[in-house]
Amino acid sequence: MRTLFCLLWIGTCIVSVQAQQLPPDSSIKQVSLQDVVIMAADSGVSEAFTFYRTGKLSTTEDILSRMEGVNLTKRGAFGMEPMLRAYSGGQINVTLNGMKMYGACTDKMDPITTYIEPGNLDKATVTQGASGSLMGSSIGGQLNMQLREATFQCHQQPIVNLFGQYASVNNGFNAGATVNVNSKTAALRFNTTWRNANNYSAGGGQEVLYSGYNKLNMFVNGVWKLPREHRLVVDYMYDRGRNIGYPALTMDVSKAVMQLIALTHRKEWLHVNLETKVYYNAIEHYMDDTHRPETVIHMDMPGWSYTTGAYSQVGFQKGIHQLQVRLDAHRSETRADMVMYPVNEKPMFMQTLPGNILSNVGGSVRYQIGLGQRYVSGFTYRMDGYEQYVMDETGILQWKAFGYNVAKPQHNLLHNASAFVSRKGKLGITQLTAAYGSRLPTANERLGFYLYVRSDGYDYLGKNDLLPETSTQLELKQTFIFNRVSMSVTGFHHLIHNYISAYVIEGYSQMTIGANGVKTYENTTAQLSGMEATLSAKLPAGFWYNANARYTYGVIGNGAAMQQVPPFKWIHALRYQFKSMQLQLEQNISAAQNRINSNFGEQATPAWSVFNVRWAYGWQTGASVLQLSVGVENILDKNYREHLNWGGIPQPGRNLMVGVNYYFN
Amino acid sequence: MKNFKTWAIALMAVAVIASCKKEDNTEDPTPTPTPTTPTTIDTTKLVRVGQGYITGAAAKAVVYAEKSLFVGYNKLYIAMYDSASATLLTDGHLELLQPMMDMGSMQHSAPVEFSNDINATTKLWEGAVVFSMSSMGMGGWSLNMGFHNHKVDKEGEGSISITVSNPAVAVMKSFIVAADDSTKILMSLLQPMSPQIGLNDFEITLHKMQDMMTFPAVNDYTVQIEPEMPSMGHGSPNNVNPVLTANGHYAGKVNFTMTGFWRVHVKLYKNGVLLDDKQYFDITF
Repeated sequence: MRTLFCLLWIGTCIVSVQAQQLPPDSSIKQVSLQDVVIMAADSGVSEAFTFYRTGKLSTTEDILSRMEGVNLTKRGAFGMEPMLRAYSGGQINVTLNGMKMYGACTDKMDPITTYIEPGNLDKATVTQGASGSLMGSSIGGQLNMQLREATFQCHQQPIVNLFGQYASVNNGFNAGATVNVNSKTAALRFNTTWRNANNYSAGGGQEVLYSGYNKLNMFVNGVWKLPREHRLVVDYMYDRGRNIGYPALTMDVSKAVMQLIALTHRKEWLHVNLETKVYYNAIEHYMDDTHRPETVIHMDMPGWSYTTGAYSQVGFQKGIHQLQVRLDAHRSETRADMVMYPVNEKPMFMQTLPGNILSNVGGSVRYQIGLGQRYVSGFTYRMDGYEQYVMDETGILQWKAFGYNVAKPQHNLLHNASAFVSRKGKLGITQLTAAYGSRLPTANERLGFYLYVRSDGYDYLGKNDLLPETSTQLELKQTFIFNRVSMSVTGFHHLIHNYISAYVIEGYSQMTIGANGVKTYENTTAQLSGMEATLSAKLPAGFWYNANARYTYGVIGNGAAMQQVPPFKWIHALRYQFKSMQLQLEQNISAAQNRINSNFGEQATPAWSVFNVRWAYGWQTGASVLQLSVGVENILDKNYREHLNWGGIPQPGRNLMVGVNYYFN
Repeated sequence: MKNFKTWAIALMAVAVIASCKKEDNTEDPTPTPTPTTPTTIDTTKLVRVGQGYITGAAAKAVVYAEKSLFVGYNKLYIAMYDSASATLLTDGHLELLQPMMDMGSMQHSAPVEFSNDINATTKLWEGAVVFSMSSMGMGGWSLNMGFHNHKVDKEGEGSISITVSNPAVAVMKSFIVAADDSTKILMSLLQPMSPQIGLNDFEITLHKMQDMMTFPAVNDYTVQIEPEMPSMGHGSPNNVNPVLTANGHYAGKVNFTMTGFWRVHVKLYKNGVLLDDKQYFDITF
């Protein structure tokens, strides 16, 4: 049995000390969430997150949605946008292996998490709030997704993993393969995943139109061990999506291609580690309404995003001191067009996001010191210099008519700082964090030209002279650790200054057929408070219980509710483990959300609760391991929706999933 | 590299200009004037639309326009040559410019503007005519011209026959304004002629028909414009309503937020009273 476990771990390439105590990767929908690390300012890995395991056949979003304080905005079955608490978009800093990447879709159809297959995700690190701004200025925190690297096996045998899955709710098939080969000094890992899904059915059998998708992802990683502890890592990823439906929007994606390449150098000394990376990524995103029968005039909205960057970071740890210093720079070019094709008329063209260049140079420092037996204290600081300007003549002319000279470079200098102190008591750890963060307005907020937002039905005009959003934050976390039980409670209160909020411009004519009018942005104020709680209990006889709850309360300057704030949610699960069999029962509960922002077109969402069950079993023969998993999600076929779903689109109904995993080593 | 590019472009531009010039000159049956200063005019951006003798003034007029004459507001550029030596005349007064449509049973003129004095830079007399109809079928347009040739101190008149055609998209509207004594108004679009995305100059002229021969400029109207994309049903913000500049010319700005087919609605007011809100110009780019 030990061999079986060992193979499973190798197969899934999970490298963790804690992994040894954990049951094997099993049920379809859950890969080890020990992969998914929530990093608090004290860098502690929360045990609650070693519980959930999501199968490698689920999407990255499935994994993220189970993380503390992480919510997803849904516009379709695919391409959900991660939110940290109620922060999204430009308020949070989402990176991939520390690389900056900007979605090419002005409708936020392609948050960069969509380009990552969970089979390639080593871990996702979340730092909530402004203290999570080490990789880039932010007020909402940081989500960094770390990609898997090729592993070095001492016996130098190739590892092969084949997997396939069927889901009944959308006739979805996923399949993929991973191969890892290595010599003493070099290792190569290749993964490919293919997904195809039709429209899914909501609870009660209602078909959600335009929710199918097709996707192919390939990822190659090479690692070279050089003399004197130098390491060279090369990453290349190709991701191609086709006919990705977005039921909450008026358009779908006919084709989206993402490619990234990165070269990393690492060197470790006794107390010091150094990492330097240069990278480039390119996204081409073609959105159109060809499949929508309600279309009056056919429209294409292609978007492009190209980012080049580099960073170097050094970590130092000795005794009671921990220091991390990072320097980074990136240059990003984004652009989006709109072309409409009326019958017997000339095509209509405009730049919905004028071709623009954003350049950034920044640096950060994080220092932590142990003070006696009980106290740890530390601080973080980051400074960012930004320059942004429009280089496309059409976009310049479009904005000139609104009195803005967008060709003139705009410069911003942003500061972020945080400090924390934590005290170890008899029952657990108390930690207090104070932070100040800031973030640049996004290209859409500054330069977006009549971007239609389906949620409220308004065309949005950017405002080029928006001030950066800033926030002062206070956060208190108490962790309790008993024998078999660990608990944590976090409370936070954030004041947001220059909060970027939209309002209706009276007398402006909308551009989109059927839109309600035109909105633009202004700086106002807002407040966000909330709590998160986790509980993990290892019970006798192979039972393990895990729960987390979260609540966020947001209010903007004029007293109205902040939009897109998730209601109270409670996710809990009970797992039973017997030898290589695993059974897990889950319940996801959401309270109603009646604090809504009707200006944003939000509707109140009723409370709901759904049950899922998952079962998995593994067989071992020689060097092969076969794993079968079956799961039923939304057992009661409930018709419900998450509050963050745009356009009130319902969640999938009852879903039977069958998956097969084969490992050979 | 950049320098090289600039030079290359400059050279190409020179070559293009040179070649155009040559073409125009070979096409022009007027004998090339002998090179005594000032004897040449630059017609590279102009089209010759007619020529004829000004009897009695010992002069020959050659009329140019920015493109072939069309129904609407046409700027005209007139060069005068000595009828015998074919040298360019620059000393004189344009005394008359009068378009005339001969329909057999009746004749009528059209709105016109011109300057008596020569443009000292271009060596051309300048004027403009709002042609209210095409020459097709109905009869013919001609330009009556009077010229005082200071060189020989002689005056005379001539008539030059010209051809006016209908443009693909109407840039002149004529209509009866019932609320203003049933006056017949001729409204012409001057700008934008090369529309682009963003703010464009928008200029119209307003003339009224006093009688068949008299078309004075209308200077007491107020003009409002509203662009629309008819197939989309939307407009655009930040337009500037045209205001009177001089001689029936009203200039403002129109904002085209995208390319495609735009319809600019024009509303006319007089003393705060709406006269007409049915007029528009279609602009596609």
